[in-house]
Amino acid sequence: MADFIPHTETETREMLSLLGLDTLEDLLSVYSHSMAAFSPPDLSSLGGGQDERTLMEWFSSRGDRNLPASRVVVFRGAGAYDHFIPAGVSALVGRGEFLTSYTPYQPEASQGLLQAIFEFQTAIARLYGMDLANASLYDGATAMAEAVLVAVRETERSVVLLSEGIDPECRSVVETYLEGMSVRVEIVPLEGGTTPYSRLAGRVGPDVACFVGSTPTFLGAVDQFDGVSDLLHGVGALFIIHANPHSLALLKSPGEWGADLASGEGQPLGLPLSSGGPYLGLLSSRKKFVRRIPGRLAGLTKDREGRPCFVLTLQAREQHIRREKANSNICSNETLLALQALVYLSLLGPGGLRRAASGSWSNAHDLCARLQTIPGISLINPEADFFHEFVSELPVDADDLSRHLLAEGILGGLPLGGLLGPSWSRRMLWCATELRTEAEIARTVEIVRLYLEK
Amino acid sequence: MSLELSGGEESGSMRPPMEPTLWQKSRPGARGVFPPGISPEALDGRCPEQIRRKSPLALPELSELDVVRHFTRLSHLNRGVDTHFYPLGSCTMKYNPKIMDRISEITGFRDLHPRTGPEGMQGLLEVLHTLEESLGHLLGMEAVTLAPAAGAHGELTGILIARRYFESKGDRGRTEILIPDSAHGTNPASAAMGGFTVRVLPSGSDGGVDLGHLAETLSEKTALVMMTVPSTLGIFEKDLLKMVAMVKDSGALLYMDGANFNAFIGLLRPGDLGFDIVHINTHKTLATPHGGGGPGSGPVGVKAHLAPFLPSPRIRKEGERYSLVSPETSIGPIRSFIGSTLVLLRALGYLRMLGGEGVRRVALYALLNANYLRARLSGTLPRTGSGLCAHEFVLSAKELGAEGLHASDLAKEILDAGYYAPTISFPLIVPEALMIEPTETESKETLDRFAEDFRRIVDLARSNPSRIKEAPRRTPVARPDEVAAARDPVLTDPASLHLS
Repeated sequence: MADFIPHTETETREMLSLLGLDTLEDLLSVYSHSMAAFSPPDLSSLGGGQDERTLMEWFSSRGDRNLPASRVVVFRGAGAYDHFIPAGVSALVGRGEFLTSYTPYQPEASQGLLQAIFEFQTAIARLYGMDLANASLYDGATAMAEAVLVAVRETERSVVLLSEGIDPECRSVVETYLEGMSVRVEIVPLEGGTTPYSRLAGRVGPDVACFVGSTPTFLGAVDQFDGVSDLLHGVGALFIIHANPHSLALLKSPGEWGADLASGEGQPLGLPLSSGGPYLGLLSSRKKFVRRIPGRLAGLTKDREGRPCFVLTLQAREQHIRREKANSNICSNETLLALQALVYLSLLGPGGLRRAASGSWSNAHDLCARLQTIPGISLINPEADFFHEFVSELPVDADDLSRHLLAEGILGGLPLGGLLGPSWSRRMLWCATELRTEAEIARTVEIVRLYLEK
Repeated sequence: MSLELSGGEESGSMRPPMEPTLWQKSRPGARGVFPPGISPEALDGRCPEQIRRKSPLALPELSELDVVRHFTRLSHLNRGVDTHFYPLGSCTMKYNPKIMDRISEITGFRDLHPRTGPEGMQGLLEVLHTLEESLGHLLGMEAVTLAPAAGAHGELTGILIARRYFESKGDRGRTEILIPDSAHGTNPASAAMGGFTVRVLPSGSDGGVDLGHLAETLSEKTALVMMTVPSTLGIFEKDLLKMVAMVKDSGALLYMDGANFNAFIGLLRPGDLGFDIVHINTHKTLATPHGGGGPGSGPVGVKAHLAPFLPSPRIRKEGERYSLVSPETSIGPIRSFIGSTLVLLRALGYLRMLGGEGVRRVALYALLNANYLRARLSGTLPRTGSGLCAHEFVLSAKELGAEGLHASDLAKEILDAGYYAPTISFPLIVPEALMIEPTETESKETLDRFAEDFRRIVDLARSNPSRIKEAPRRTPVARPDEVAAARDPVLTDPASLHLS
């Protein structure tokens, strides 16, 4: 079938002849000293090739065995969010000049992407209330891990304090990244859903590299960090906030809370749920860390003729120059997804983003209020504010309810027992974005009510 | 530094005009797409004062058409494989088949929530499991993880697996990783992130690893030896099997950086060669688009004795049913969720479309194109290695130093000739390197035209070097002042600071 090799037989013969070879197989002399030792690989498991139609059918039929947002109503978040994405996003991001380009090593032939990266850095820095942002990291979890590594290098200290409010899987990724370092991770527990200042004040000291808070927390609460910045800076530690970028249209930014660095998962900015990836790691910081942060940076400069233009800059931080002394090993990142987020933010503008975020807030609060009218359902941490996620305490097993809802075409809240342990088995983490309608909310609540009445 | 991005249409310039930034184009009050939601005022102050954002969002305000024109214009200022021959060595910039765009847009995958649970993800898990098996066959490895988001992420994964493996044997003395000086910078950077000390293996006169030096450097402290095959010089080391045997005897593990797997996919298997761990880059060998810097994907294959340490979650198949499990022995998750699945769909689509025989032809034609172009460029600049090369080759522009020229100068003239440039200044062991990788998807006609242009450019460099110093003339901008960019970095648009 297709192999995308354009050569005619005549051309192949002419090319071989220039090399003094008779057949393509003669090229294998490159490997002869090793090939002799092994039998040729059995490639039969790869099949005989497929044409476009057969290929599409094969994948489509597998896709049909999944339950995507087009088939179920999504009331689940927990790190991946079902938001509205304008049609313009994929139309622009799919352009071959962007899609099929490489990292912009040759700035003269890559001004389009370099400018887009510069604009993305600008949008993310402003959204997070920071001085600068990089061109992207793999995802929110690895962005948090890289932010922690910046703090460890900057302070040369060995204790990292992570809020209990951080997504437990993000926390595990941070721990994996720190596996080879002599760094100890300690968890700062939440009280009533948010970070207790006194608890943190009782723990910080000259051994602490940083504290990482999350807002909203994994369980949905809007955390508050009054005084935390001064507390940490007083002992020479750094303050990192992991924040959902969508929520920042309404909520106080990491910059306003006084954070030194901020990380986040960019998926809510115009990226589809994508079965979990590729997503977009966001990292922003104060200006003083500009030579510490990992990843690509696009900067403004002038060309020889005085024309403003863009280049990859401060590359002396990076692996291809500094090798084992680099800030990080990252090379390929998520530039196309950064472009996608930028197009999304441009199409919505500040008014559109606030409108969508307000819709999320409103729908989630509506869902929460209606669920609480059902006997036996209560909201945990009722004194904490939340954005578009909250946890319900149920009178039944959350996995059972989740299965029932799925059978009704609803991807309900996430049952928490699997992630957080058996004591959470009757708790469910709900999410409602701006996409949910009043009718979807009403129907879902009704199905839950009837299920509990049985 | 001021950012007066004018239209740039000064008289007599051959350069296409630049595009103002989003913030320069922003018009207060302009509205783009109207999303579902409600007006913030309708929240009625339900969002309490102490958690509410006070500082401006500072996003640009534009109409939908403004935005469409802006990004379409930016795309015109950018080169991709779709528009230009991209002989960027080590990056395998082959054609990215359009059908794979369609596959990645199938709603059953694109709109699937990663926490749906196995009952709603059977199709996805089947596809990923199929890809794991296909890659296992191609790599000669017993187990594969699809989790790593890029090649370097795969390296870190492999290195953490090695760390965990030796810990499981109670061997805590293996603290070093050996890496050739010709390796990609990610190799030593990943080793350092994994908490290891890097020992550099200098190349011999032929560009390959020096066996004597390898023997001296290997010790009971060596955890891992990382090799790029074929090497970044495009050379398949003649003593590879001897090296493998030496490393095995020392008790260390062998890692293959599979960035260059396009050279021998379907011909040889890293597992058969003796490697314990290998990563490949789907955005190189398996034709997934690189997107101007990513997304990539860096699946890692390992031999059976390392399988227990692979990152969680793992896909398990029992009968016809798939589930996700997190074994106790795993190094843990290295990212959120299961992998860059929309990229992985493209990779599997590519393998299924080609089939076994097609995959083998990929490698053969990658060899043919590289050797043909190398032969066509014979006599222009000195090249490394003798005999046939693998899928890429390296030329040195060192002798043009006499004319005051560097490899980077030639690259600029190559841009003007209507191509992307080869990789320059890498590998580090070749002075003034130009690393050229045509890939199998370029036609003889393209290679012939490139060869003629390259020859003309080298001739011009010798006869009129000052002309080369002026290149590029046809691109949207002339050479940027990179020193100024780094001295006083401007990383965000100053125009954004005035918006509310």
